[in-house]
Amino acid sequence: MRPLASLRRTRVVATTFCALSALCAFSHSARAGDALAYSDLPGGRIGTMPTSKKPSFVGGHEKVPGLFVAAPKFPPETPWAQRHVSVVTSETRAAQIRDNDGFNAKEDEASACLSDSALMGQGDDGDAEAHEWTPALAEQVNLWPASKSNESAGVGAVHSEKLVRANGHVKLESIDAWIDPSTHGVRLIGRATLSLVKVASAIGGVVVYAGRDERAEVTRYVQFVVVRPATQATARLGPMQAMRQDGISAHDGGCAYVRMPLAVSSNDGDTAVIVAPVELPSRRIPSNEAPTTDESAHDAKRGDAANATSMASSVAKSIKRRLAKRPASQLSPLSPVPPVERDVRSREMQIHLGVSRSAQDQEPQLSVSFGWSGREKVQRVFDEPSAPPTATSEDTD
Amino acid sequence: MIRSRICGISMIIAGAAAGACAHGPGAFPRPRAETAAIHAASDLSCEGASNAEPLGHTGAGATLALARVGGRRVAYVADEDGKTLLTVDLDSRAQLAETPLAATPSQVYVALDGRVLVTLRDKNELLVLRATDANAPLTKRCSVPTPAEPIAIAASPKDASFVVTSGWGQRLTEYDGRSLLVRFETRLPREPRSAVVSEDGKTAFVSHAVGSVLSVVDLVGAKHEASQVSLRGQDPRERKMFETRRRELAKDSAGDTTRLDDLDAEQRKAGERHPSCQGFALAKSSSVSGRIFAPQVLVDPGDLEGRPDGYGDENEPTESAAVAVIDEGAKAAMTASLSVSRLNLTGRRGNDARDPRPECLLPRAATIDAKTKSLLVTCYGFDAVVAYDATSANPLTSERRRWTVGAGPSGIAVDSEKHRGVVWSQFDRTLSTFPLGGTELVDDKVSPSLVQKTVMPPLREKLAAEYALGRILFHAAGDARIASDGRACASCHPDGRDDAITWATPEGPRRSMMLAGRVTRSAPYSWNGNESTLHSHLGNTFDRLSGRGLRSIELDSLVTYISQMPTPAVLSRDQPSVDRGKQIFTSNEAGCSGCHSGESYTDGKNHDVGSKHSSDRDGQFNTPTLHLVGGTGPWFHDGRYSTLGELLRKSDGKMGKTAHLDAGDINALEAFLRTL
Repeated sequence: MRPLASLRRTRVVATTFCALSALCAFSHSARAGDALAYSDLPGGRIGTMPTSKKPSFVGGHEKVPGLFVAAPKFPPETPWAQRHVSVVTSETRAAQIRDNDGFNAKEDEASACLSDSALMGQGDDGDAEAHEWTPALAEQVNLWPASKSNESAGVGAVHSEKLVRANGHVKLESIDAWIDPSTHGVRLIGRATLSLVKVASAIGGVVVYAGRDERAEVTRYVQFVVVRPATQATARLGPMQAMRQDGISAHDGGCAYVRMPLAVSSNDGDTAVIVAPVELPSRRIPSNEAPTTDESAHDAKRGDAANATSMASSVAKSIKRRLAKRPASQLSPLSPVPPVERDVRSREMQIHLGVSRSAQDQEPQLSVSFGWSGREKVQRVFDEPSAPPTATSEDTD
Repeated sequence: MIRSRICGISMIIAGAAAGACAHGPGAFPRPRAETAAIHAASDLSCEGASNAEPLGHTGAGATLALARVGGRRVAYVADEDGKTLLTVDLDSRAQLAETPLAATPSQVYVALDGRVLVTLRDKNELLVLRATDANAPLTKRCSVPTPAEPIAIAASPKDASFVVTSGWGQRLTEYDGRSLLVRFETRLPREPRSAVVSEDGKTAFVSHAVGSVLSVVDLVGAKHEASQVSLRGQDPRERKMFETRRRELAKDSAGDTTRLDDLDAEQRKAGERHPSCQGFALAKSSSVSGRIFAPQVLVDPGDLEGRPDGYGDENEPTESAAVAVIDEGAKAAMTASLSVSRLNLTGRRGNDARDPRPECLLPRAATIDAKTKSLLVTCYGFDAVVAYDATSANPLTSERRRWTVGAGPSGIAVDSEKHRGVVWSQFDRTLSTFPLGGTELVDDKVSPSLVQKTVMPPLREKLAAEYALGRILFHAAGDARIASDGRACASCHPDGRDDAITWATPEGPRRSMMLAGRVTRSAPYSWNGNESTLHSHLGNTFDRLSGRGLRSIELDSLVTYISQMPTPAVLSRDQPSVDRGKQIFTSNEAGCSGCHSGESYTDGKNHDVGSKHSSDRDGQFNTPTLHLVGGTGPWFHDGRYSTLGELLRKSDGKMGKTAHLDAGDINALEAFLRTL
């Protein structure tokens, strides 16, 4: 007897379109493996940390479009020094913060991403990378007012960047500004635009763009931007974490991409690695493989399943919760249509980015490649048979 | 002097060349005509074409080489265990012919004119064969002598010349591409292995199994000088820290360079912390122009001032895979490829306790797939081919794919016509072929890698099972029974030699010891002589490596292999000097043979020779055997002496007496030691 045989419609998070979208997900428009020339990249620049002394005050009337300062409602007993303000890039989000309304923006509304501190040798004017904004992005940053206990707080520099797609072109627009947490004033430091070109794509809908950062420094940089597919398709690509060879790390911080600058140098190179879990196309379980609800038996049999990813685990837990809530009548073993059982497969993908130049190279060479950094992990789930596979336009991007 | 040494060597090796030295420059020994050849040709000249046409010409030898012979696509395989050259149909994978060699082949190379060159490592010869028919054994054209243990063959453009590395002989020899007359021979550091020649034919690059270097040899200059490129690991964050400190000091020092000098010394010392080894393979291709790839392993032997629980710091990874990228034009390694950064995301082990992607700790062969610009590296231990992005400055971080092949993958070639990888695995004598595919990320379940393994017909004289099993166990990287951190016996003892590294151990700093040819009559074992049998010594070694240990039958097999592993052939070079050295060695005045006595040159006892290191637990050391001592530097238990001459001079009064010897006598004593 199959205890779950009477399951009618267990909605499993958007994974059923995997089979349909597999073809597109696997399509490889990329030139990964081909030599990507530095001169093929469009130019531009990304804002860098300001070298000028920070202002002690920014008037409340000073504003910069695209940057919003909002103060949440604090309990009256909250000390002044702990009353931070949040900087966001959406007016809606700012309103939510002001209203203590939580965060309910949809994923694709994360219109721009922020960073607010330099992790790369801040203040050292001899270091070419001293003024690099951290590539670890966030959807909002917080600033605290200056106080006796925290004199370094107060006016702070904030970097905002946004991936813009228009007329078939992709560019990264950045705004750097001083923000005064006391007055909520915002003073523009500078704007910059970096045009990007698609250099590779891979399984899971991930796309890699690159552009030449033509900042006024001796060291030249290539800016790589690794973009997750939008909206529902992101179910197949989990959070991205990146690390450059020198230990500088980044993550997408809820944004839809990771940006990683790599320095161009002669007779040497720089590399970075990005890892992200990818959900792979589903596999149906052969009908002659008797299903069971005994999880330990499953684990013993299938090996890999014991190490299901958090993504897959959450799916399984969701099913269990739903089952627990079902009336017994709906779990009748006499139900005519059995559930469809399948494996949710996931694996950690590794994206390698690199730029290098040997003595014989006419110009720096770019490299983008993809690989796996772990074993496949499998979680068995049950789908309702009547649920047709669905795919959105984003799924097949 | 160099020339006279070359002549001396050549005279000894090639009897036919006696007297050549007297003829001055350019008078190199002529190739020796072998009369005992199994398939001797009537024409014993080395020149002349043959029917083999190389497939996917790479300019470098391997344990297998692809060719077209009479319309058939074949793989020539240097079968070390069979002491034969196998001809295998590349498409049906059926063995077509077998050419007995009566010696152990290292590499095979199909020249552009169709001649098939084979290095015979235990016969010290470069053999030239001629192919007539794919189904027939090859016939011998000629052979030329080489220094001890010839291994790799590489060709300059258009096969104008061939270079051959000699592992134990520590030499690179260049032969004329047609006549195979020796053009020159140059001395190299320990254990040279693979070689490639630059695109302009002016420079040879040579890897070394030990010693943390890559040799760069000038092929066109008058002196044929060899220089070394360091392949030691570097920490990019540490380098950045030193740069920052240097800038700060430069600002503050106001002309005082003392502190800057101190900082330089500190940085140099830090730079020596990560030696490398396992430099068995090199690869280059015009598809990734100007770059040479050297798979290797970066080592952290631990703090020599401390006494860790095992070999190396128990809290740090001791060995990690690496692929050094050599900038051919700059003759330097790209520092990105030598990174030892432990923060690398690809090195994360926290997500899966089963360590899903074992590292390639025993790389053995490499080649480039020009179509995808992938570097293909074969790895002992987990017996796989790993594909890396060859356009990266640090290919290790850009792994694309793996294919599991037969045990002991010692050679790889790319069948460019069918875009397949072809791998020879010596331990189970299989030929594996697999489609290389593209650069896209492949879902293994949707597109499983199709590796076809074909076992060659059994050997005429089967290997003893114990020996065969022992060899597999010796190279078992990633085997928790041997070591918890993935190290294999071959990690510290590549090819049964030693890694030339001084490790932090529970007893103090200790040099790894060479095993091949040195263990049968040299009990007790370990530097302190506290293990009376190899079995107990191995058990203790596994314990120090946090390995779970082997079953007794496996341990027996490992002992069998270690006791019987191939021993390098020692060549006597300057007999008068050797005789004089022997006289000194056995003299009461020098007193060497007092402790280094008997057949194995050891009395088996412990002595205090004043060599206690600050972190040594004890100052007593067991007299080491002197068998093969000439090729095992640096010397002493802590590797304090980089040359034998230095050892002989500086240990005066503590370990025999040498103060009374002049430079000539010291050289004679060293020459004698190198014959043991």
